Amino acid sequence: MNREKRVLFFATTLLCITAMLGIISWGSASGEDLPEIKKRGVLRHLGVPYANFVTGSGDGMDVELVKRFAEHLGVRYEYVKTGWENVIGDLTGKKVQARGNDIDILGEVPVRGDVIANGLTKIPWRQKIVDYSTPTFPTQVWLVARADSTIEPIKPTGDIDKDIAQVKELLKDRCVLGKAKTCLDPSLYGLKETGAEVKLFSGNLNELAPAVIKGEGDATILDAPVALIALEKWPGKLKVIGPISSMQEMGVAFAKTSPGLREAFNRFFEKCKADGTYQRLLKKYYPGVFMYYPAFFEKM
Amino acid sequence: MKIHPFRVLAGKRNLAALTIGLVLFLYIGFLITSNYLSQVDLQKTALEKLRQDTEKLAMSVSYFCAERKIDLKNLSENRAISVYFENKALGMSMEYGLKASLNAIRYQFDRLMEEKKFAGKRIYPRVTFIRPHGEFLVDTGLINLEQDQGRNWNEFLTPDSRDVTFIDKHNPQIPMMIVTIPYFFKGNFAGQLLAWVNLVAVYEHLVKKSQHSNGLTSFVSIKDHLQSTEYMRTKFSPISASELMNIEMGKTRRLEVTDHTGIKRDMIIIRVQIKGTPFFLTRAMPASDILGRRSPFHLLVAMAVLSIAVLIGMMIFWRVTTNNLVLEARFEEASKRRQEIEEKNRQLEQEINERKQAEELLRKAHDELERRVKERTIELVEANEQLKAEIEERKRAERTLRNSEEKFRFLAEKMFDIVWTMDRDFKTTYVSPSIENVLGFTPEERKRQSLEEIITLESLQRVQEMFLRELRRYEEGTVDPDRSVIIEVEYYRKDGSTVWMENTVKAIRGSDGGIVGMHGVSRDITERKIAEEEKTRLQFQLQQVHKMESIGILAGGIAHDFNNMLGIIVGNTELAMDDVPEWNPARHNLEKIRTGSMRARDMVKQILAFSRQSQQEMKPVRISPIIKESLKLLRSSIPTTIKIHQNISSESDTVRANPTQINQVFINLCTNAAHAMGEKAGVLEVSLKNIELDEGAAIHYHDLSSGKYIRLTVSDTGHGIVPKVLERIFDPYFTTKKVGEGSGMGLSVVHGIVKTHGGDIFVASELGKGTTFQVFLPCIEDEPEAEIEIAIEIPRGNERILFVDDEKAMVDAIQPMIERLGYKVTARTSSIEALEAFRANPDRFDLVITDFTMPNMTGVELAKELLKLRSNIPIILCTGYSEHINDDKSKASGIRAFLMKPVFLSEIANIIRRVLDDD
Repeated sequence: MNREKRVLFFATTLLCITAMLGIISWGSASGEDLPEIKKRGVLRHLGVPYANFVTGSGDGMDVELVKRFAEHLGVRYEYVKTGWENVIGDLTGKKVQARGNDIDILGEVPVRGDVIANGLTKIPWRQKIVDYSTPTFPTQVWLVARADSTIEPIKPTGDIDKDIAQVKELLKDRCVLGKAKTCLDPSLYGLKETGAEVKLFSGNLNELAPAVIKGEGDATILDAPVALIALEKWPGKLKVIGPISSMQEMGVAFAKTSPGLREAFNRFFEKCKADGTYQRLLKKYYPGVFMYYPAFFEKM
Repeated sequence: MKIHPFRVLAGKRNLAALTIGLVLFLYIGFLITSNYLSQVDLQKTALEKLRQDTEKLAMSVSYFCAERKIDLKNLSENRAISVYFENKALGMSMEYGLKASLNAIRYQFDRLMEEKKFAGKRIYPRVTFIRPHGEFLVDTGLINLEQDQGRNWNEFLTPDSRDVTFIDKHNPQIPMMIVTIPYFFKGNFAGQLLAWVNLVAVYEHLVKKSQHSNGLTSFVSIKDHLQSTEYMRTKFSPISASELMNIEMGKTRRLEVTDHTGIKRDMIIIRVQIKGTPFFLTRAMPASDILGRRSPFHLLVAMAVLSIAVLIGMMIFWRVTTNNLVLEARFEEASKRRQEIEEKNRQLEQEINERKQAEELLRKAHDELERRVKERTIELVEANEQLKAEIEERKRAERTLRNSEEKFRFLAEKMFDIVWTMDRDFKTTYVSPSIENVLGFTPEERKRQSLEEIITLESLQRVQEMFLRELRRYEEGTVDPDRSVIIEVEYYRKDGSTVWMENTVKAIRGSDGGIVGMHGVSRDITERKIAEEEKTRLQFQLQQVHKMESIGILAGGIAHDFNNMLGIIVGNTELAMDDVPEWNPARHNLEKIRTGSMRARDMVKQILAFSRQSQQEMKPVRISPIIKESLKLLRSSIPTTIKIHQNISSESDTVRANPTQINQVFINLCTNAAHAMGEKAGVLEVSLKNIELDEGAAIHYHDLSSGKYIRLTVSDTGHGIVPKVLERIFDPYFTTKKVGEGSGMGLSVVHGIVKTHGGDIFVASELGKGTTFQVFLPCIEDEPEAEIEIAIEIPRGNERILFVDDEKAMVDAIQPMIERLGYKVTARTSSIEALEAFRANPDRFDLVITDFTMPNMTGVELAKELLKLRSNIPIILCTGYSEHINDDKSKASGIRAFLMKPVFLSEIANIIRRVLDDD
């Protein structure tokens, strides 16, 4: 009998704890909208150091852009450092796992920021959990190899699908680096199916190019803007083999509960483009990309 | 002989003149000789200076060219160019990366063009890189007036050279030269760098600056290459230009050359090599500008002749004038004295006249002045009086204005409403202090804020739309320009909360009639808004209540007809069952019809319960059988893609409850769960367990006290519920379903039922995973009421019964059923006919069974008439359903029993027997 009571007691206690955890988790809210941010007086910028978007040393194109946005709103700017694994959760309050183009919500996490701005590529699974601003930057995923690699760059055909197929044919039995849970996740581009030996890189995205130079893999996939910077930084050490994806776009991400904030940003961004502020930032941080994709930016 | 003193003087004078003339002659000779020698020296010096200037100029041009060489060498060694060739050698394509290397080269070219300037002007207007086959790799673009068409770029390639080369590009429109250097990648000729050098600045700041007159011409030309010296050809005839090219280097030479108009000119020419380049600097200028218009010898002769002539002339003049001097001196002295006396007389007369005139003028002026003073004094007195009156009037007006302003300010500042004015850009120009009471901002803070900072986004859009709409109307002239507009706007308070305000806005117009701003009054209408919202909500609830009442009435009507029809089905089925032996398969089918009819009857009861048309009786019941039975019904109504898992393992499941309501709760929860999963595969899990809550545990269950409970859990794997919806899920009429999918009453009714049973309901949900409802009902120790045992032996009899029902089919079904029990039945399908039959012989019948709803006379009215005829006649009232009758009401009317359709054989047999036996 005592044993039964003890079991009942533990069961009840467990039930209470579960209920309390449930209540706590239900209480965590996702990203706040414009009036709350204005009331709070601070705009929290979630950033992962990546290329010249967020340099990690206090500046970067997206850092300057969000600082100006905060100034435009009349609130204080606050940078919140995060990592690729947590950045979506830190914005939405949901722990998310990508499954192809779909997502699984694994649970609740605390919300730490109001916007993500660090060259975040628009990919289908991210669009299911966050809203993007109007496109801010063009990109494409390229395969980049060490200069002395036996992988030869492709001859472009003018048809992007054929070019991608050419590149994938070169990957059989090659060690290709990628980074899980980012826009450089090999599973997004079906690299495993090409017969390549896919290696998930444990360092950050900025270290992929040096890792290939060191010989940690035969090649890596890189965002085009980052690949262009890598070619400038390590001239003669790397070569671009060809494309892995079609043209993509980057943007600033907002929680789906922050439509007002997103709308305010879009209006602010239009103003920046109209008065030339954004073009000055582009020439400062990505002069090469600005000249490389003139059509994208002229359209802006 | 008297010697006249003038003659002596004249003799000595001739001697002196001779002496002086000789001295002068010698002196003039000396001056002329000295001047000649000086002229010769000056010419030599001028030529030497010209040579030195030209050499300095050539040196400056040489430095300029040397810098250009360094520029080109630096550019050819730039890493951007080698990176391009390295990447190209790696096989990279323009589409994927190589274009960036090309852009980097272009960037270096642009930087060179931007950075290199001379006298504030760009040195390089164009830089190109030409591939070995003569086509462009990078080109910064054409220069104005320049044409590339037809140009053979191969001519510029110098693969055999390693040094910088200058190419003359002189032409009359664009003074230009090209600096070029070959580029080698890994020892192989990979192309040629070309940079155009603008010589305009060089001419203007080096060459032209050193020109002394318009006649001087300086230019740079390539040695022994006459065709390229286009500039020279524009200035000189071909023969003269050819002569100029043959002049020895570094020497000055005087030549008679023909210019481009055919005029011959005496010119000084000098040519100097520009060091480090294949160029010469050639300067040509008119000889007269350097050496003067006359030679020194010609000047010498001219001056000697002139000096002698002047000397002779002077001597003759001196001789004539000396004789006249004495006479002239005397005459002049006498004339001078006379003139002095006459002059003094004239002056005296003039002074007397002037003084007379002055006195007259003075008198007139004095009279005029006195007259004017008098007039002005009168005017001043009048003006002074008028001014005093005006000052008094103005003081009165100011006092009135001040009083008015104080009244207005008192009103504006003390009233609770906010008074404000704005300009056309929505900038606040005045706002009354009451804003601080309403919004928390001071007037000064508000003036600094923009409109979008103080009102919500939705309100801002409405205000802008209103403003544009009104502006359009004003412009179209379709409305009164002085009308006011009322708009409700949601403002932010300083603490971040919001407040609704009603704004009465009117345009302020400028002197030209155009709108220059707005003024208005804002009033806090938050309470009114809340009241309006509450009113809307109450109206909605009232509509829902009316709707539910209508459903109730409808359900009652349906129940009546449905039960009647069921009565026919059941009656006939049971008759048929009697006729069909048990071994016959049709017997089994008939039993199925009977069972189905019983379920249909239960469903009618549930419909009536839902519409609150039936009484909810609470009694001790076991829940497990209710849940199991309901699950059987549910299985057929939810998609097969949803699996049902049940875990009904309660030991003690007796609760005080209304079974129909419990069934309603369960069906509702399960139906919601099925909706949540939709057509997708999912699992509906139902469990029933005993839970005992002690004092500590009960705290976590809000309204529940400690004790034993039975817990019914219904969970699904559907889409889950968002937290905001979860908070309001048990509110009446709150629904997330579309119109036609639900009333929004389901979970509210469930909540109400559970609460009336002394229990509680809890919900937990996770988005994308599913929802779980837990219903707690207090367990009781009482035994559940035993189900009415259907007697195995159906009681029979042989009494006489009058059966009345207006529906013939019902009579046809029930009459044989009763007759088979042994009774003698007289059936009527009209209450009037039945009354007449009874009236004819009241003792003919032992029992009357009558329907309730009949035309002309209801069952109750018939019963009253029958009882008047025979007070002890037992009557059974039978009805499909009517809200006007129930068991209690019928008994009050003297009716012995009340029977609900459909009537089952065992049921009617027992009731007939019981009523007859009681009697």
